[in-house]
Amino acid sequence: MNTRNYRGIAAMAVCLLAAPAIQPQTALAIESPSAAGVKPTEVVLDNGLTLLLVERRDQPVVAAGMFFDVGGVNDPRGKSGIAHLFEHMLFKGSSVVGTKDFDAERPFIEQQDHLRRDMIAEMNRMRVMKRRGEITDVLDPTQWTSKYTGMKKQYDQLVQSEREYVVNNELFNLYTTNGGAGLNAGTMEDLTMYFVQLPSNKLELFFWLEADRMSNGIMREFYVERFNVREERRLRVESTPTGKYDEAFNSLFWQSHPYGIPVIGWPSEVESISRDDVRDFYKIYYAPNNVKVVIVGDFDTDETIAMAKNYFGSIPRGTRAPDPVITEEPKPIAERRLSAEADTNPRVRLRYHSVAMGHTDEAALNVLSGLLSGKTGRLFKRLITSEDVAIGRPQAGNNSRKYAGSFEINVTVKEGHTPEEVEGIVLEEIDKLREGDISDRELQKVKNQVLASSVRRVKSNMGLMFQLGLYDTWYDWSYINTGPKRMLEVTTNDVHRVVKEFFNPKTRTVAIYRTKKKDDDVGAGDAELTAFLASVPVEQRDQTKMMIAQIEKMSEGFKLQQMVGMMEQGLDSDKISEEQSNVMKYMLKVAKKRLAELTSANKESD
Amino acid sequence: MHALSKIFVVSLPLCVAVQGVAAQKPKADHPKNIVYPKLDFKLPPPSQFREVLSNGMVVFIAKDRMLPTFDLSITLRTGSAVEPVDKIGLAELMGEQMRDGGTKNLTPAELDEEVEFLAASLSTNIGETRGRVGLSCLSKDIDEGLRLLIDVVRYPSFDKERFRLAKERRVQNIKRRNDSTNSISGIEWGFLMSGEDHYSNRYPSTKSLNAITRDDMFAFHKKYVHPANMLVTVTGDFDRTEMLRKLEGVFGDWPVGETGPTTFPAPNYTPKPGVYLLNKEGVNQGRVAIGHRSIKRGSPDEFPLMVMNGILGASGFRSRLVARVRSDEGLAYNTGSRFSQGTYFPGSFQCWFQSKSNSCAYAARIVLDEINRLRTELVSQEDIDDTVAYNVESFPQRFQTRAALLGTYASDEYTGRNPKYWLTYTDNLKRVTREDVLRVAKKYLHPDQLVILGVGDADAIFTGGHDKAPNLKFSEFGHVTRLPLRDPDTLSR
Repeated sequence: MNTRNYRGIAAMAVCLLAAPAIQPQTALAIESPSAAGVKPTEVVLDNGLTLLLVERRDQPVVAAGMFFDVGGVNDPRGKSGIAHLFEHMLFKGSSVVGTKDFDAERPFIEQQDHLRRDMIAEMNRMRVMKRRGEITDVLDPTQWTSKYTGMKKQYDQLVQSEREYVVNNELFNLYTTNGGAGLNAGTMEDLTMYFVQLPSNKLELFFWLEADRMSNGIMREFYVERFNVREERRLRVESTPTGKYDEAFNSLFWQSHPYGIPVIGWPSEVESISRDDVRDFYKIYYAPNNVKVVIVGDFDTDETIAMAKNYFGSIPRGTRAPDPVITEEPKPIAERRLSAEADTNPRVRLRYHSVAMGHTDEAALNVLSGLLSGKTGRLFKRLITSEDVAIGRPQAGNNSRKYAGSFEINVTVKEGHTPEEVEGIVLEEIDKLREGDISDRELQKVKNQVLASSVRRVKSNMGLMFQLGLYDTWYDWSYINTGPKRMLEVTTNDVHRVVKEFFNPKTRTVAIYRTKKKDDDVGAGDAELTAFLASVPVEQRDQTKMMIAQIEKMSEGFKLQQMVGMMEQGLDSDKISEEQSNVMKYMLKVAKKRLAELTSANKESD
Repeated sequence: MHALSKIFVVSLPLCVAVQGVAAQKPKADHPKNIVYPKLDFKLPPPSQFREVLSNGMVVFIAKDRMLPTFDLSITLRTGSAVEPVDKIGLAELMGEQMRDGGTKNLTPAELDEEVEFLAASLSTNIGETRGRVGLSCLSKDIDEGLRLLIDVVRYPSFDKERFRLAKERRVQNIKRRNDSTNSISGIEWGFLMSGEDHYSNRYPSTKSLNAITRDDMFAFHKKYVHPANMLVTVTGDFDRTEMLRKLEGVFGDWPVGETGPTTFPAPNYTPKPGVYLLNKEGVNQGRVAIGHRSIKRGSPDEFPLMVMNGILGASGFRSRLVARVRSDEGLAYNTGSRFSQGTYFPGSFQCWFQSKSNSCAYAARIVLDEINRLRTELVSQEDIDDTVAYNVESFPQRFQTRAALLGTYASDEYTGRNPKYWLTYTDNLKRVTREDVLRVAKKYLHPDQLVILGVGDADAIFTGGHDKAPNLKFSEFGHVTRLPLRDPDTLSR
């Protein structure tokens, strides 16, 4: 169950570029595979559910997915993460699946919810205590009020009692023991999808389980699952080298648009989401009129439509349409910058506001990304081959989504150069595209790649299913054909126009990542210190490390000078052991180095 | 050319309003009671695709005309395992520079331009025990693609400037080995399992990279890259006879050299059981791995072990580790196990999870309990049935594309696996009994030999403090050794 953040989707959006439909334009063009395009059978049931079907009878497998028009942007204020948490909850079964006896289980669920309401009230009281400085962390069990601790114990007992009736992970088990492969789900800012690949004779299972969880979900084991979401956040965001900074950068880029709120949610808000909140969410966004069901593979279309009607047809249309997302990003008034130090290569990210999927300028922006990318793209040629200031493969991509879009350039900086230096060169390359020459061959190369990749990317059933589901949720499934077609029609003037329109200093947000200084990261990156610590007995290592860190942070030269003197005297003594001597020698070296730094800094300030 | 329209059989006009399209079958009251049509899936044998060129090169070939595309892959019999110990990084560098460093006929920039204008993908790389060359292009460009492929593989020029850039990039990147707990844990686990000297734990350093010359790459290329060490798979939109003729034309006149390595040495090292903690500052989640060495492939217990491991942690949410660590306790988003049965020497058994620092000890306790439970209790018949079904029912999907099928067969040919392995795979799984699982768990799971590795905030991980086990510490699982991080360049301590 993946949370896909905006940055991750940049890659996905680029890779889902769809199928070919047009002859190339110039003599340099590769021959078209004379594509007729993708033509799914589209069916809309009376309750508004949309079905997209593509038969492919060559192998006995089907890829099937549910694409709900809901994501992080629909999280109510103060409840960020609800769309993602809900996605987890839909794997917990229903009143039929995942239970031994729902009538017996239900009272425990109701008691939990009742108690939870009281716990939320007490949690709110603890928030007041925190604002007054009486406690520092409402999520820390050691700081909870005795009332809250008592309720939590009672709550845990109710969960245990409910477990007697729970069939653990039954939905997963039903799928996987019937050959379900790749079973998973994903929540994005503007989409939530559930998908699986099945042997073709088991397609009915998909209809049974998906119709059931769409209409009978009961959010079983809600509060335990929230802990897993918290671990997911630690795994993806908090314990990775740049996760926290990437999240901050995204929030800096989007000033008002909900694309700036992390899909996985802010921890303080996720903690307060209750089953009551999620039930409301379920009614609105998981109604049949808010979903696209996409199936690609080995099936009979008529039989499948009948099955869809049989299973989904009786689910009533939602009583209330989802609220439209109306918040627009204000016109940027100034450049925004984030400067971070992290355990990573130095890097620069430049992000500009672009357009939503299907906008008339999208195709030119996509072509622009092609001109900048690849080993023969302008960024590689300039930054690697010509200037030798970057490493790896500079990346550029337009990410047009349902409500808005962005264009990002991401470059890893070579040691000995600065992110700002690289940023300057990238900006020069963008400037050249405002009105400079773009050769026919350069443009055609990008179009050849559009054409070829659009053929390759419909190869797998799963890949085609994802594209149809995403496009139909964000724009229209026909984008799979029209997207590449529009790109093949882009001219040099179109590229010039979009560069002038979208690439301006005021509209950009820049992130500069510098490698975290070793002084701040004792023991992690400093080879000499690491080797030294290895020679210190394990039980003394932490203390030694701490002392070294303290010396490195000392700011009073006088005290440091005194310390150096004492250590030098100590080393002359014959009373210290060899081990102690080694430690003292190293500390003396660190102290002298720090003293030199302070002396040098004083001279500069003079 | 083949129209894409042939892929998509459109049986209804767009936007159909559904009015009782077909007779409706009654719904089952529970999905367990759905009656499915029978699916008769038979795996075609390797012999159906296997050909041998006149120079002895084995080719697995399959026509696949769904799309107008062409894919070719060469498995190279070589690897970093056979590079000189004072030139660590040579195999990987040579593997990359075959493609990146241009050819005798094309400068690197010219080669890049031709490949990208064709909108093809042409890649080369060398791993520990094999190399790979991949070509993917539209089927109308097969001849052009093959021309570029053979130029790259047979006549690389290892351009000086690209070579310098590649080395400098590596020198910079190796300093980042301690950036993430994932990287630290992966490297350390290898050392804990196989020792400091085994080839699988040799990593390039600034010194070893700087010792590598272009002449070294030419020599390594000459020794290992030739038809005697190549195994080819081709799939796509072509005529089989015509394609074999093309391959004869491309590879036929290339002199066959000496055959490369067919086996690789086992580590001469016995893992030392105990708890090892490495401190990584600034993270709030510990990354824990628990395990020991396993066995080599080909054991008569291979399938019972596969089922045992499935029940423990390798059958998704059905597995015991996921059910307990994740679903019941909410301790980890990601947990599981693997019992790898090594191709050339014993692999490793590993359980893993990532959990907030103070709950790592509690989660580890659960993992250890589950390992012990497998050794002391018969699993249920339901455990067996579900785990076997998990593998058997999804079997056709392993081979849903011709490329996947041929890739598997080529890999088996390379490693010398019995060609009937996959043909008897599901029957072998279905034969596994509850008693088999108990027997192999007792025989192959060794709680007294477990190595437990934790990477993260070492103090917090060690101290524990989960509210369900506030006093549980890692010292209860064995002697605790705190290790400093390795120097990221040399990986020495």
